[in-house]
Amino acid sequence: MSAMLTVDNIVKVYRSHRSEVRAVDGVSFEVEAGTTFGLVGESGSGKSTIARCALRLIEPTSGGSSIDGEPINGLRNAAMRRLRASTGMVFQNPIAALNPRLTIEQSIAEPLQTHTALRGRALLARSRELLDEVGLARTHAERLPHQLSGGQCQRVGIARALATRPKLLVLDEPTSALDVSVQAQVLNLLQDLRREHSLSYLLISHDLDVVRYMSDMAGVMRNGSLVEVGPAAEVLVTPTHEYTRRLIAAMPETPGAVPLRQWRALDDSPLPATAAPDLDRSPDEKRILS
Amino acid sequence: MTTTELLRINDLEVAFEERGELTNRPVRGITLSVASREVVGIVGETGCGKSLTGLAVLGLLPKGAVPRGRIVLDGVEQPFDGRGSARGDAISIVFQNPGTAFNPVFTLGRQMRDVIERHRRVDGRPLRRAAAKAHILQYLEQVGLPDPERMYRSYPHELSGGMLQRAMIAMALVCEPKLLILDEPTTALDVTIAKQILELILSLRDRFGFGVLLITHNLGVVREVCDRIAVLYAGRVVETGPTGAVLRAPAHPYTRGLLGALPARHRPGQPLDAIPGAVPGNLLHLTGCSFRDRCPMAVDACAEIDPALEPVSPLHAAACIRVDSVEGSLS
Amino acid sequence: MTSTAIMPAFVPVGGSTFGRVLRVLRTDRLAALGLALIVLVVVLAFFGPWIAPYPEQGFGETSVGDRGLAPSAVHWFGTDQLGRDILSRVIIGTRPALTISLFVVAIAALIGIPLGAIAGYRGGWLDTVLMRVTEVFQAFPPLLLAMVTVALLGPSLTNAGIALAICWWPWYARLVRAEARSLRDRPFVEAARAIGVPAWRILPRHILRNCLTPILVQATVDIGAVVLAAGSLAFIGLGAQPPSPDWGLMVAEGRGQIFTAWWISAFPGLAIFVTVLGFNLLGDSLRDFFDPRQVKR
Repeated sequence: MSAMLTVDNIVKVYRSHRSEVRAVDGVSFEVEAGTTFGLVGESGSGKSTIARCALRLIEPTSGGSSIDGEPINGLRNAAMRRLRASTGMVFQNPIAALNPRLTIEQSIAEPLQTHTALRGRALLARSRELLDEVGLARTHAERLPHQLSGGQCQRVGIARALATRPKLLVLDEPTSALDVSVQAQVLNLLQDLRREHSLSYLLISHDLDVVRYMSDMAGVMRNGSLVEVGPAAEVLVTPTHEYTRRLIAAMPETPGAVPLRQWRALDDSPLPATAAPDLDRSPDEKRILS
Repeated sequence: MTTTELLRINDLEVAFEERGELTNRPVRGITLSVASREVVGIVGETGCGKSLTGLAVLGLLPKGAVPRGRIVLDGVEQPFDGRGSARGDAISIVFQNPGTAFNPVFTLGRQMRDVIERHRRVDGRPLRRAAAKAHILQYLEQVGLPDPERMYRSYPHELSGGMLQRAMIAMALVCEPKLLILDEPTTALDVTIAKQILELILSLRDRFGFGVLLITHNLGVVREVCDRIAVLYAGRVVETGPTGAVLRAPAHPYTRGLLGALPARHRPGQPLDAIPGAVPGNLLHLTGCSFRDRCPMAVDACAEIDPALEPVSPLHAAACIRVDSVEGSLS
Repeated sequence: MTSTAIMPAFVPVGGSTFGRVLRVLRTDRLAALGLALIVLVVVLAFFGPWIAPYPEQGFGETSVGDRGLAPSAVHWFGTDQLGRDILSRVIIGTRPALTISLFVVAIAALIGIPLGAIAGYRGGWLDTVLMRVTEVFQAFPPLLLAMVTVALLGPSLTNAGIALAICWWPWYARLVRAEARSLRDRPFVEAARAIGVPAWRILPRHILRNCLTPILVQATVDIGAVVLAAGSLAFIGLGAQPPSPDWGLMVAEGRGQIFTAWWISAFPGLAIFVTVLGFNLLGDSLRDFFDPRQVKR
């Protein structure tokens, strides 16, 4: 299978007169077509920076990336703009990612206006189609972002990212600002869309559970470097690197979580009837015993 | 060890009014209690009323809020307007974002001294600066900050998120409160730091014996720290009980839905059990059960009856008329 | 995340704006006063020649027999040294005063806003150059700069307007530049770049559209300020020339008789005061009107 996104030794250095920060220190990875690659890390790990460098939203200091085989770092303005039609991005803060003075349908229509010749009635029709695809009622089309909830705004963001039928979506903490139940709806939507449109996802998150659930391949970032890369079921379940182990250990255990050792069996065997056995003990007892 | 009831919230309601008319009622009757040495978690999503509840206990409700009900701390009724209240003194709060909870232009030591001076007493007497400083240094050490002297002289921007959160906890403890309220204390922190903070809270609780009211949306956090939890939905407590019991065998469909929606409970490729729909926006004119539009077990009666908390087992209660039909633990 | 009741929403554009306007006018007395004063000024500007009792005197015709009369039933504001009815002159003078200030503010905004937006959004050397240039302009006491310009161009109302426009544009440039700088890092602007929207589209649609509010507020207050500035220039002889019914000029003309015929300077001065007050009050209430924190969902 060919790679949809290839990141080749990207380095990003921020220099101020006194110091130098290596936000990304030589990171390389590949996102296979039709798969999800999850990047996990804590704050300051550089995961958001590398995602933006990969799309050239931030210019890398050195190194580059290719999308669907085409290197993007040498492209000049117009050609780069055309490439933007084949990628989309979904942001962490759903409401802030929308222009507060544009209606929902204006926001969704913007990529269409930029990259296609659609105008007027045809443009509106396509906007409404996109609203349907993400499960939003057409009555929302003329509303403003502040009139919608966080979950609804994120659906708008997804609709906008899909407008030009891209091949690759970069999802930057797409559900971190959302409640658990809304997160589930959005993640389900993202999975459905991926299957329907054969999309590739680059997923950035600090939430190990989300990355573990959504990703085929996963990478762990720390201080600008990739410390571990591999299939998500391996890296995030039985990691080899010490840092990854610490991350996993620090995650509060979700009651009733799929036991880690069961994770790799991606068959339909039923999950155990009861959750982790020490739920019966109070936190006090657990601490004394551990 | 005997514990006493420290905080009791009785039938708390908070409505908002504008120009004489009620516009919303985000808190619609919350009753819960916290005993000394106990960590009670208030869990819920956006719009459930949990933050407002915390503010009500402190007497910090915003303008336009119309509260009802009683808040009793250590036997003393607390006024809703915050006047003469135990705020900062017998009750302390730790906020979500340590970076913005501190004034950036004053040192930590100065801000903590202000707290002591404001409440004027440790053992009933005002403290002199040196004694105040010694007292503060002691707490900075208790929260695990290295080099308390330097911390005392530092400015907020010189510290990392985790250290600031520890400092905020120290500041909350400086007047030796009986009740500590924590509003999303780890949401802004990295996972590894968050774990340390939670462990710190528990060990401080052991050492000083205060009660804790922990407000959060994170089910993993409550599992780590809380002895009892109350699950809030649309301004009401829909389920309450010991943490283990509630999370292992949730009795209310909403709690089941919340747990069912977590990615960790699913294998890749399995659709998440998302709760359909959304939290009702305006709670003023709700009739019947507020969850029925989204509930997989709703029946006609749910539109008529507004369920009260019914015991499921001696300490575990849920507000659902079909509580008996919920089968055992989640599978 | 607190409930929506605590986090007020942004100002809706459209929607029940008219309803809000009426409500504001009913509760905020000062806003209502400001609006009333401005309406008065605008009406006088339009209909001056028909309202003024002695319009021809407004344009300069003298009536030597009525020199220096105190305010009376016939001449509400009295007459000046050439017998001209001061009320009429004040009324007639409204139109040029308002015209010149609208002209100045418009030019200053038209120059300053695009420059500020581009500099703020792009940053880099463009921004540095703009900042230094505006600093040079702002380093001069504004009136001094205007004086020099008018002295070079020759005294007249038009030239005073040009001079003031030259002094005024840096303030708009800096205002917009600051807004643009803070907006360019906002997620929705980054989203526009991720979509591939070209910069020439991002600037008007995403940047400018979201800094309209401070610009509007500033412009409103500025209209009043320019009236005062133009009056000041005229006062020292660098603006409108006699026999124009310019308020500042009229104040200057009555300067010599301030103790004997106070009304010659006082009423034009009052006109300036009322105009500036009206625009200031309106500007203040506009600022509150657009402040998102004042709006509840």
